[in-house]
Amino acid sequence: MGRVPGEGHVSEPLSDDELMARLSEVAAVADPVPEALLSAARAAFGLRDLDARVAELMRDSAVDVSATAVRGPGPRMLSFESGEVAIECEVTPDAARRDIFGQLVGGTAPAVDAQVPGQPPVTVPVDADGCFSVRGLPAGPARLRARLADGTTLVTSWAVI
Amino acid sequence: MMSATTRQLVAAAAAGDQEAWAALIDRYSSLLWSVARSFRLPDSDAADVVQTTWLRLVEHLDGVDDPDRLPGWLATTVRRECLRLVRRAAHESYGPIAEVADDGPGLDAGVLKDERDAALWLAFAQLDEGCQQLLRVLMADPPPAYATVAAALDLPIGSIGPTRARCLSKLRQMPGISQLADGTSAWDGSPGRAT
Repeated sequence: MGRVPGEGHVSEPLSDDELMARLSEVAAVADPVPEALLSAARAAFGLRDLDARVAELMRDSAVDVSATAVRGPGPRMLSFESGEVAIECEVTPDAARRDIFGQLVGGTAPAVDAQVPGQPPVTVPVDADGCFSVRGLPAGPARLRARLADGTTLVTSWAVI
Repeated sequence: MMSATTRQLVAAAAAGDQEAWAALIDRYSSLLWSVARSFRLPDSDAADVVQTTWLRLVEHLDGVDDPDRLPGWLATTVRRECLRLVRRAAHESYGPIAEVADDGPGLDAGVLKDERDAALWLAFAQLDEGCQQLLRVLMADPPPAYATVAAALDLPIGSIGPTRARCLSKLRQMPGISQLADGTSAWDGSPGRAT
């Protein structure tokens, strides 16, 4: 502020721009971006994966209302695709933990890595049907990574689970 | 680095320059956080959607079509992630995303030492949801372009200015703030206040 509260001081009212600027300054104090989030965002650069191709999130039962209407409430289904290869995931919540039961379709891999920012990846085996399961991931952003039999690496887009 | 254009920062980050990446975060984190809060996400959910937006940008650094439109891309991405969490809470068995208190997340005025600032924040918290949402996004620092705000809230760009004016007018009429903004107190926009 830099001003002493005035006594009988009369001045021009705040313009809209001035009021907005004031709000912005107050927000920066009352509700700042958490420092831990800024650190995590900087560290995100280290998770760049130049060798992998990204399987984009194509369907999410949490936002696809028609899917929910058909199935009713239940585990959240996420579908990631890149070309002919897909990873289907069923996400089950347990408090702040998430279990993923997934299936690799259209490609084969011996194992899948589940990756969470700031933690070492968790590697789980893939069975003959392409199925795998990851238990106890923390709620928050996560992705899956698989080295396919054809030598390429597939990584899912990040999703909040 | 802060004077570099967004286009230059994106190009440098795509080439592996970590400082350019950090500069992008400094420039747009307030925007992303403001959008997340405008959807009334609590701390952990807001942090998740913002972090996921940055992770998505890392993923797509090589494919940014038009770096000048990065703010719009970030705003659209974080909005979609916010909606995902809001709808997930509504449709699935994840339970409520927040214990709903009297005030939404981040609206506690207790940390504000200046009573005029506290009064302003309390008055803001009493606005209708639509006004709170728009004004919260506009509070981002640096101030976002209206095109970015429109992308963040999926609103027509032409509606941003008039709605802003209407909401600020409502804010001025709130009890507890009218005397602060009507020109009879020292609480004004004249030079001398911190920027």
